[in-house]
Amino acid sequence: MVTPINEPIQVLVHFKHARLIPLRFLWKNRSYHVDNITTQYHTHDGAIRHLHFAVQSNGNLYQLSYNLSHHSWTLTSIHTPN
Amino acid sequence: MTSPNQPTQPLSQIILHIDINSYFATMLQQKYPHLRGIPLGVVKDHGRQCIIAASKEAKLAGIKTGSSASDAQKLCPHLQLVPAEFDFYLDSTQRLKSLFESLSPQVEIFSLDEAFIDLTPCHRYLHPHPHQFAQQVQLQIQHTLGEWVTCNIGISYNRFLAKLASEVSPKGSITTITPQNQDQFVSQADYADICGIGPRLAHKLISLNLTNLYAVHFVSDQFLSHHFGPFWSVQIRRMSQGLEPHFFSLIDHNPYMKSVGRSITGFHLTQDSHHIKAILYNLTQEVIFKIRKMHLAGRQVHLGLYGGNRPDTRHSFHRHITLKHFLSHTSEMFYYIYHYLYPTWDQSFPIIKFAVSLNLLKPITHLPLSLLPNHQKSERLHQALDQIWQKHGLYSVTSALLTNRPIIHPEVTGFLGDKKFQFM
Repeated sequence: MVTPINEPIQVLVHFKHARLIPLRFLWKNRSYHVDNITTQYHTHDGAIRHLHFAVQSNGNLYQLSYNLSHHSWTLTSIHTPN
Repeated sequence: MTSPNQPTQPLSQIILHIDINSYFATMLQQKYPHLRGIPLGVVKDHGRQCIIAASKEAKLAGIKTGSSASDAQKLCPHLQLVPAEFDFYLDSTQRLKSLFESLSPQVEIFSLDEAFIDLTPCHRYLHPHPHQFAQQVQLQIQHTLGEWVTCNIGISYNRFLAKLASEVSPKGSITTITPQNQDQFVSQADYADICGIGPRLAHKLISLNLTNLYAVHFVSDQFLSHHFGPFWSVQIRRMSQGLEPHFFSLIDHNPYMKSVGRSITGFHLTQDSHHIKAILYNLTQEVIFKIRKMHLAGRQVHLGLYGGNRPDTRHSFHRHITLKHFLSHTSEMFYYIYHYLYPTWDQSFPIIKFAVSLNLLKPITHLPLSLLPNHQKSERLHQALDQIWQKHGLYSVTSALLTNRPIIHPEVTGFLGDKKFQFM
């Protein structure tokens, strides 16, 4: 089941070999540990580029989006197994 | 899994064809681990009924690309329908392109999920063992795209045979076709696995008792020419001998796109004139955005309208106009689409699919500049629009025709027909 969220979040990242690696994110005063990054990819809308991460935490999949122009993070959606 | 069929003699040229297995579905399974191992049918969007790709599990259950969701679910009741994520696929292909270009100077992205790597320039010193190199490529693809992603790799001395090798090999395997074993592959391949032979040509070949490509060796040139004409008789003969058909040379010799088009299939049949006008404008604007970004202009405008799939609604309408001058402005192209071509349609059927294209393209640097004041004014307006779209995205500024309507945004196709635009 997909639940769209689109809310700003804070993300703790590791910057390694010119790559951003999300380690933990804070949403609604709750901290979520990133167990696994299943994929990451870029999109762009005009000159604004977004870096998307699909991360697993406690069995759920969270889509995080990093706006490379405004340096802001968004929790885009949550995917829970049916 | 790899097959140990190593070449017995060195190949004159070494071409690898990489084909990611069930790309659209596999990438979604990589992204959403709970979908792994489940038969998936990828549809274009929520609510769509045409399966545009199937996962490996769905293919084993007999689901084929192009089948309807209801037919597929009868065949495989556990089939899960998932919407495609085109931006994700395109970015993944761009990452693959970067990976391949780091391995060889000669790389050709053939479609969204296929590429040719010419290993010949780096074979002697860097990669003397093509099979080992292919194994490394498989590992690096998994490192780049994820552990769930597998690919077939075909190795041969030209692109036609390399692609054939990857098509006929089992999922995740590496297969080599050499001059010594090529007849075996050519004689055993289904026509569906042969790049350059479409369903109609395959049907005609079979009807003439040429049940495989190798059987062509046993008929004369006159026989082929009589049944297939001067062009296809030569191409069929070349393919039966394991040589590249003309189709592959088109990849090499197109420095710029000859045509840019855009089509969309709606959710329901429509005869609403405002809706039709808005869709045609929307598609026209995307075409103009792309050709302007590639610094091209065209002089043939085409409009296609299609009815539904039921026998009572299955109709189509095509018209084009070839102009004496080149155009690269939305207003001008839309004028020909909506005020010139569209009125010639008799409105005899409701429309489900719309297509527009601008053909006979040429680089604007090859064309004389217009001295007409109105054209220069329109060009300045488009240059301003180009800058706005570049910064804020296409449709950030658009016509009032599209106000309060869902805008159709650009999307990539599996064939990647606009790769020259996508990889600019």
